[in-house]
Amino acid sequence: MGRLFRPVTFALLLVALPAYAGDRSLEYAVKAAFLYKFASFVDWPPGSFETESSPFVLCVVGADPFGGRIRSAANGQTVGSHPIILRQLAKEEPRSNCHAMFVSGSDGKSASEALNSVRGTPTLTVTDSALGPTAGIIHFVIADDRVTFDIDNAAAARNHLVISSKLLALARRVNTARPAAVP
Amino acid sequence: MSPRLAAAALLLAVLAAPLAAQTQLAQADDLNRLSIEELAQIKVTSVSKIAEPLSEAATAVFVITQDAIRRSGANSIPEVLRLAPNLQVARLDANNYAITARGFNQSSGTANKLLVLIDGRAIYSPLFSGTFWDAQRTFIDDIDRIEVISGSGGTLWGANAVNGVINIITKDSSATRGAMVDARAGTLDRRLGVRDGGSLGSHASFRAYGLGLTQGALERIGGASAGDAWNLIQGGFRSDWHQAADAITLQGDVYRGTGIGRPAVLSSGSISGGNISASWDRKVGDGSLHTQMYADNTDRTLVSGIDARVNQYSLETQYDFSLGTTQKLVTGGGYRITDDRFKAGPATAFLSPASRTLRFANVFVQDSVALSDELKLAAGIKLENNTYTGLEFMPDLRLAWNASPRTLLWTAVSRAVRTPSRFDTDLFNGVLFAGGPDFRSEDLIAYETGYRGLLLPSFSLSVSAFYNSYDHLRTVEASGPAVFPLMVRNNMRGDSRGLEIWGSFAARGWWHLSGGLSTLQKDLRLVPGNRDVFGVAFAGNDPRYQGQLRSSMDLPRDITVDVALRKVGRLRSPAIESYLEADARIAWGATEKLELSVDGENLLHARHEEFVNPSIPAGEVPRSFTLAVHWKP
Repeated sequence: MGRLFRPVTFALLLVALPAYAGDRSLEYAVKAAFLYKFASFVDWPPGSFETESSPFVLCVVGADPFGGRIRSAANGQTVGSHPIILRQLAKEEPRSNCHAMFVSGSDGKSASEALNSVRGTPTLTVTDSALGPTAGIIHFVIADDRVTFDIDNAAAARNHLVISSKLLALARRVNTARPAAVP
Repeated sequence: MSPRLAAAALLLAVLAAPLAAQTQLAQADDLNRLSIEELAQIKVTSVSKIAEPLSEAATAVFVITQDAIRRSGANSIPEVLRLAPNLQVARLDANNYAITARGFNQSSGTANKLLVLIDGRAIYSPLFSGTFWDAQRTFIDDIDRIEVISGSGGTLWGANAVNGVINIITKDSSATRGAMVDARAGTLDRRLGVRDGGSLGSHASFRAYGLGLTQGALERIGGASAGDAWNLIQGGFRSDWHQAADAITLQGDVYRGTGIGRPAVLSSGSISGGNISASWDRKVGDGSLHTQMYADNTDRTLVSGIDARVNQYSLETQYDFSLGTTQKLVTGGGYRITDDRFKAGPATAFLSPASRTLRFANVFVQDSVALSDELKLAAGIKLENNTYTGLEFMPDLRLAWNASPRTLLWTAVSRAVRTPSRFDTDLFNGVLFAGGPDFRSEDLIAYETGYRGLLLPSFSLSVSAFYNSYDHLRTVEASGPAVFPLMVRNNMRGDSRGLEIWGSFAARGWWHLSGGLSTLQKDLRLVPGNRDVFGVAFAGNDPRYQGQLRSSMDLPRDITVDVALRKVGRLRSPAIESYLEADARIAWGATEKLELSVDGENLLHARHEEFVNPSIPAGEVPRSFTLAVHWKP
């Protein structure tokens, strides 16, 4: 067994290293970690949660580019006192009650439909420039080899969300144009 | 296919699947541990590792994270610093420690070659170029991380960053919203801390904290109380404001501590002080401008009648920018004033003059040039002018080679100085002591090299080696044939060399192991013509090696178990036996808001001794247990 074990260990190294080093794998692992961390920097309006311990619903609408990573990233994590639960939806369904929604742009039309369907409701929408140009409140971009994001703070205000200044400071670009005041 | 090969292939298939899954889990787990700022720093288009934000630093730096602090159960900054394998931490009495990097913990219980900063505020005392650890009670939960750099950092950090720099960095107040209560009661110490924080409008946030603690007395040999118990109360705040390209931070603390031991302990007494600091960061083009100013007051009254008061005022600014695509520059300067008043006791030593104002001005520049994609050269120099010795220069040259995306090799040569302190030059004691009118700066040329990288996806390793060449080290000498009065001079030189190795290994997604080892060999000698009376041992009483091993487990039902072992080699003069000690902590996250933990410290001996200051009766650290409640109402 001892003689056998050495080549096996070596072979394992060869297998394991490239698995770890895959570029997109890390990119999406980082995006997944961001995705659930965003929630800590956003305030939802009162009434968004039934009770202190009701779950925070994170939805992935459309094709899932994370391949299980989002589940491991969110596993056991909470937003304040709310445990995170993950819902994967083929497309936005009415009354799915997502607090945050990652919308993949695999089909541009369905992406903007999903975004429009939650317009004005307290939903944090997140999109990915690598998957399409349709942008939600937070839009992932890659800049300087790093994952960063643009924030549409006006869209956040329309959805009654308050994004913390710390998250705004981290963003590459922030659209702060406020909607015209209603007389 | 031979049977053996077939068996190997089968085994490979069976083993590889869970390993790959585990690797991915470990990766997600590691990413979850990072702050959102750190996530934003990870390079994703190049093959990267989790510690990317650190990987390019061509220096021996160990980072103590908040998670590691919490899991250690440590309730004071010196105890937290034991987590850094590149520091030597020895407890002197209930609330004083000797802490250094790369040696030179002096027999008087002080290290004068280590610079310590809290959020950019230097906390070493200009009286003796060391840190009074009893006055540094940062609210532990508010610490974001502690960066421990072993090796000289004079070019960026200035005089006194001779053997190392400790940067204690607290969290932005936007990360500490809501109320929090941390209560600990144990066989040795008791502590209650309360913090509350929240938003101030949409761009600013605020937190305030208060804490009270009793640090129990250590024990004498045989178990009698050392009479050095201590009470302290402290309060403070931090407020941060972010908007577009600007970030402003305002923070401050006040504290008061009193010895409650027997007044016969001459070192007991009381301390009080406060500080306030403002910093402003602004993005300018693709660069950034950082400006900070602070004022810091400390007052220390001893039973012997000494009353020492020090005020420090500092203003500094730093500009980071790129020049073309290959050069990154950092340049800046600062001005600091210290203003002290030392009132002697009836029969104590005194400072002459009793009050003195010292001025320090510095300018520095460092240019980091990418020679190729993998090779980076950084060259810098700091010029610092001080009241005692005038102009000092601290140059630094560092080369970093990313030999592979997971491997950094670096090497550096630098010069650092320790400028004189009041105790070096102005300390008198009747016929015994007559100051150091000719004392000049101690200086060091440091040669270092190191490796940092991932040996396996789950195994990171850092190795650094140094050779330090010191000159003009402090000696205490006879003034003439009659020996007394003694005077402080610079007649020692020599070198030290050592290794610092640390690593961490994710054995499983739920089980992390980490360890560290440091070695030190000092070879000091007196310069011909000296009249030294104490010998080279006086310069530092350091172990030749120390090591630590830590295990962190996340068990089901929100239970975490942490065990730490540390071994410290023997000290020679005064002699302390080598010792092995263990700490253990079990914590249970009862609910999302409530964590209960029990913590045992120094479990292997009823009591053990870590350091001897000949002028203070030895105190031994007893075994202790603590119950802690961490509650976010």
